[in-house]
Amino acid sequence: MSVLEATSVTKRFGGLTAVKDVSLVVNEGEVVGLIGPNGAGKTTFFNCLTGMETPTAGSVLYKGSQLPGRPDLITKAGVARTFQNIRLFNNMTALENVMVGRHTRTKAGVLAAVGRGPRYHREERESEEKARELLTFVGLGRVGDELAKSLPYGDQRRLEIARALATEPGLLLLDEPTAGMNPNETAAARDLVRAVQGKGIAVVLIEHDMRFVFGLCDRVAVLVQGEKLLEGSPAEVQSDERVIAAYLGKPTEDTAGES
Amino acid sequence: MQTFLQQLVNGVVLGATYGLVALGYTMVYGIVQLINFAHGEIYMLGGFGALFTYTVLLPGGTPVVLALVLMLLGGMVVSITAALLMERFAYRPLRGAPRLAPLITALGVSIFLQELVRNFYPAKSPRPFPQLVDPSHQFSLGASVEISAPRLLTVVVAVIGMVALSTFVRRSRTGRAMQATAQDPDTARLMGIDTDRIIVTAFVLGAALAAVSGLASGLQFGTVDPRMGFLTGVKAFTAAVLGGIGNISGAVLGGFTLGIVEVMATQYAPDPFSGGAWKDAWAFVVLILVLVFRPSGLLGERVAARA
Amino acid sequence: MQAPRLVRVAAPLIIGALVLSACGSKSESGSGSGNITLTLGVIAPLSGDLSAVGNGIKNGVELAIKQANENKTIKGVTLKLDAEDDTAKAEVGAQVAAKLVADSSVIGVVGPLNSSVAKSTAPVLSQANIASISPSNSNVDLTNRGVLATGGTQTRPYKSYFRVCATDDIQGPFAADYAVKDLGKKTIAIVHDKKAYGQGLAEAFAKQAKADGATVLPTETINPGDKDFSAIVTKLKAAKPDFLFYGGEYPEASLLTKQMKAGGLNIPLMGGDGVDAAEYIKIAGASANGDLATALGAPTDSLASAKQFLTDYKAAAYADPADPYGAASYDAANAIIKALAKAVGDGKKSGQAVRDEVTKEVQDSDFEGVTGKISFDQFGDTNTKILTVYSVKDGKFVAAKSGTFGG
Repeated sequence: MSVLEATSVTKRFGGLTAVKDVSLVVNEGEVVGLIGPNGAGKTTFFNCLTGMETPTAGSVLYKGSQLPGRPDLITKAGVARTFQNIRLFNNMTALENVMVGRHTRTKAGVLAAVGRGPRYHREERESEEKARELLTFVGLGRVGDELAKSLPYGDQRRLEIARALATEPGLLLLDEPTAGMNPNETAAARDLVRAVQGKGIAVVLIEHDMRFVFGLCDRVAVLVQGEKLLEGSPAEVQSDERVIAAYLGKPTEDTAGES
Repeated sequence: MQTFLQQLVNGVVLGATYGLVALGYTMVYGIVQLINFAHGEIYMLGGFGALFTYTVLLPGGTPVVLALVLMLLGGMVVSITAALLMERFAYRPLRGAPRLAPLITALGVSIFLQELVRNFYPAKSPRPFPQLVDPSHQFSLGASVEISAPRLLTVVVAVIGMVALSTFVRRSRTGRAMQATAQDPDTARLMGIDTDRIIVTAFVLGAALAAVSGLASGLQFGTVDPRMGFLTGVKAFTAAVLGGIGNISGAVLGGFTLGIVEVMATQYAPDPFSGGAWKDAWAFVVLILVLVFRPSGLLGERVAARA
Repeated sequence: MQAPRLVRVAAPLIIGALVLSACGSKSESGSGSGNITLTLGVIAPLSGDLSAVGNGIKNGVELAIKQANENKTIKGVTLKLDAEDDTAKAEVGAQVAAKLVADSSVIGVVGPLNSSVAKSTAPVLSQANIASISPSNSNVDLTNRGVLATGGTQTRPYKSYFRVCATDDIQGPFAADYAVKDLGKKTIAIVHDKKAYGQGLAEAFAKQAKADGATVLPTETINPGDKDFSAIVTKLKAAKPDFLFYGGEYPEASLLTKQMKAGGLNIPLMGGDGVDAAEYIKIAGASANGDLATALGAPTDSLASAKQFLTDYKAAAYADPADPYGAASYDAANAIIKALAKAVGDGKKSGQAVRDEVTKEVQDSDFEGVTGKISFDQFGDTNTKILTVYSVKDGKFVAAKSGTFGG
């Protein structure tokens, strides 16, 4: 069964069509790469999937049912994401960041907190335990009480993933998870995505690091100028001349022929 | 020395009210960057709600403690209802509008609420407020430094309110969601937080604390009047800015600082700039000095780091 | 002095004249029917903290108008009331005064309550030469009485402004004499609210108290609207005064006396007529016992001449009490009604002519009103300067001493 089924998603901003008629299917446990030059509409496509933008046309099904139109409800349904520019809650600790991610999976409201009943305490305790587990899972087990803004860059990316995982998603959207990372950190990120996959969570990732993408993804889709150019296995995509042309930016017959 | 200590006590009592009301300003500002000038009126409505509960709803001879609890609940109901309505109908439609629009709306709401209460309680303002806590009952704090029962109560409930709120915000699920929304509303939404509800929660909590303060003020002064929210609102807002608007501990610190500066200016400022009439001028001198050296207020760092 | 005043008067004068000429023709056409309607204006705070007092003024005037219409005191004229709410604010006062000026049927005004408001209404009304009589303005500047204290020559600032009450320069000293000579107080604290009324009263009190030999502490001031006076109480307590004089009004005075007594400063608070209100005692409760207030005139219910007025007032079943200024307002209204009757008798029925004539006749008023003899000196001040000290006993203001003060 497919986790995500996006059909003919289109997003126009005034006269500009940022995403045009893009369809994408993600199956359970899959890691799908989304590549394309800057400005190809990859992030806008993510925004359409997570409710930050409302698609002008097209439909998005998550596990067979229509996604609601609001970001918070989409998260609740099971779609989580990270950001190209890290967007952590800087003035909260790493642990608190992850606990915020658990918001939809907990219930206690204002009254429960004021009353401080047993359910509230139990839920808080469980929530903290789960958050600590997730921090350990992404390799941040020891920095839980540090402020998010004081963490090194690579750790911040991992914290974002932990926070997204805390929402207990079925589908995780990663927007350039290795941007700004050194080779060691990139390797760790690859392991982390595999571990996430191991939990049975489907992943879609936007990435510019081709080695990372082709080494990790089960399938890769290429977006150019808002349209899906092609989709296939890493090998297929890697060898497609249009991809090379799009990436090199000069589609001369010579280079295409040589490869 | 005695005089100094007594003035310190006076300042703490004054600051307790400022701080409690300032929390409402700072919470709403922290989350929606709205200076809710009508918050002073929410405080006033808390006082009138408590008075209404006492005079209309409570049967004579209700035990004092029970009466106080019910009056507090009555005040909260009125304050919270008003806050909910103003959020829903005055501010929410303007979310995303230029900053000036909600600001002017807030002033309009403030005047509207004042006049509304004036029309409910015409002609004879200020209204006498039942003296359920005997003001002539004095507690001695050592060498002829005294605090009357209702003034002590004001400080006690203010401190309880402040501690409860700050614990709530730091330690509870909803509190964390409030912090998250304050720091980055879009991302908060993507973490599954219904930010509309969080905004409503901020208004409700602010209103509840303002109602506590409104009741305490009624008990302390023995009157409530429709314009009482204006001056207190201005002072509380000043306290919030002084402490660093958006910062909860800052609002409390700002409230006490402002209260103490005011009384000390009354007592010690040099002639001809001494006395009650100049206390506000001194309070603003301190505000300006703080803002010159710490533009985001005493504890304003956390807000400055936003975005 | 002349030039700026000229500039200040010019603009409203022109506007007023334009409006008048526009409206004049209208009322002339109305007068053809034989019975014309003219208007007596009231400017007073009808809403807000002082509305109880303001409504007392309005009611006193309304009663006088009703009786004049019933008795047909003014031949061929039906008088109606136009009560304007000044909300106790000077700028609002100026607006409503301009509104009354613009209405050509307005032939006189009773009010306003506050001296600070009168300072903005008197110039407007005087430019149109509309007689205005205040039942309660006690600030000296309004008739330029202030110069008397320094031996200057008094000149009249507002040619159609009158008042039927005594002034601060008398109220303050009268209170001071009572405190120092009758009560034997020696160390007196002074607090005022910085408004024209409160400050004028407090300064006049302080001056006379010093002259009477008491020690007067440095003046403390508060802001109208303040509620927490604990800092001032603590400060004053250290100086050990045996008496406090407050220049201002009851909303602050009642909280001040309460906090004084709760804070262990058990001395009487004395105020002017702004403190002489039932609300003062209601709010201050037991703390008010022993506190004092002066009021202009003699207590209405102590005057034989006021019996009928009080009966009529009661019969009219007004929501707000006649005191403190209902009776004086009734007298003020009657001064204008009598003047109008003479003016109409002289054939002056409309336009500027009737306003001019009414002002002239008010100046020459000489009759026994319910509060005493009504007549004015050349500056618009009453010749009858009676004051009374009241003290709070068992939750009521009780007259302690009535009299006149030297000036």
